[in-house]
Amino acid sequence: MKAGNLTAERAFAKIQTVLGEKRGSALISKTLVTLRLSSLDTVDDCYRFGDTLTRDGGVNEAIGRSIMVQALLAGANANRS
Amino acid sequence: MLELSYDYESCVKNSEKAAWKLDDVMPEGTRLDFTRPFLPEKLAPSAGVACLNSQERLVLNHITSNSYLNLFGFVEEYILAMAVKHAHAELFGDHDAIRALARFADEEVKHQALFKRYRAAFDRDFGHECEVLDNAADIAGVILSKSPLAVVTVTLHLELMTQDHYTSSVRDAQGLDPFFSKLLKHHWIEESQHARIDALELDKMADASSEDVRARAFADYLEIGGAFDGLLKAQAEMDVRSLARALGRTFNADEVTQIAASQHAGYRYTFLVAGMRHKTFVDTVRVVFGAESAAKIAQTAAALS
Repeated sequence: MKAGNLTAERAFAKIQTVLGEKRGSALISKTLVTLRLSSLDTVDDCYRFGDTLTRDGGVNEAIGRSIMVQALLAGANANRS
Repeated sequence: MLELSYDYESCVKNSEKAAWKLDDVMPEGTRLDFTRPFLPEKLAPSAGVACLNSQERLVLNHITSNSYLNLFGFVEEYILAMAVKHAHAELFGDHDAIRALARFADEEVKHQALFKRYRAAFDRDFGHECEVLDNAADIAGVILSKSPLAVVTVTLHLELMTQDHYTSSVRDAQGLDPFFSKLLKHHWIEESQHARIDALELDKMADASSEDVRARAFADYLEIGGAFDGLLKAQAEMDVRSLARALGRTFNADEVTQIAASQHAGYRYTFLVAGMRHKTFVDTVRVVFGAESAAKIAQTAAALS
């Protein structure tokens, strides 16, 4: 589970803050598998990661939306992602 | 990247200390006094307009002051959207940052409410219709469509410029209307915290961005400045029509050109050049975007002067 860039580190930190290290890591791994990625290397990857989380609904959706906004502020392009 | 002597926590503490209530600054029903100028000559220049006498210049000063606050209300529309977006990005992250950004947003809405109340009083007490730009939401949409790093850069420019207006031109000026000076003082007090939050956000974003993203953001900053200059020109032309109505006077073509040019030059200094030449802004641009970009801003400011 490699972050790949600062925006990804911040995204992973959000998840682990809310869910704890164990559950957070499991969710990150599961979401990366869904995206067929081993790490989030670009801000566009971070945006897609957040977008994927939103499909879970509930708190994951809220975290995902926040990660998407964070990625957009770092230069992600929603159309390209 | 930036060496900052403050953090989000200190911004929250300062914001709590400096907070004021709308009704304390401008109670409902406040009547405006038009016997004195509202803005100093530096921010509302009219001495060079030969076709106006001193009483007519005073009326122009009041019109300019009304437009000035309307322009702030204008830009605060997009700044509010920006602050809320940045707070959203910090959810489940840095709680001090969320508090600072949420207070920032709340204060911007309060400033808009203050300016709205002022403008209603102006419309009631001035006695003549004054034309002002009225498409704030459209402009907010255009600015927010640009790179987020550019949006924060423009905001830092505006917040620092606001501080400069008060500290360099209003605070020690003699003979200004005390109510208007008080209003600008309270605006400045909170904007000084906002400028710090902008710098913290800019630092965080620049840290996470690529060189390409920063280059595009700087180009966007210049583009937004150019678009804003177009709005200032439009406001200058509106001011001439408002002045003619208020004075019951018809200006010939040369006079219209002279007054509009003076108004446009005044707004350019006030809203563009004062920000571009602010030392903190120039230093920030140099660190975030590079020395060439800082030089480009100096050239742009010279071209606008």
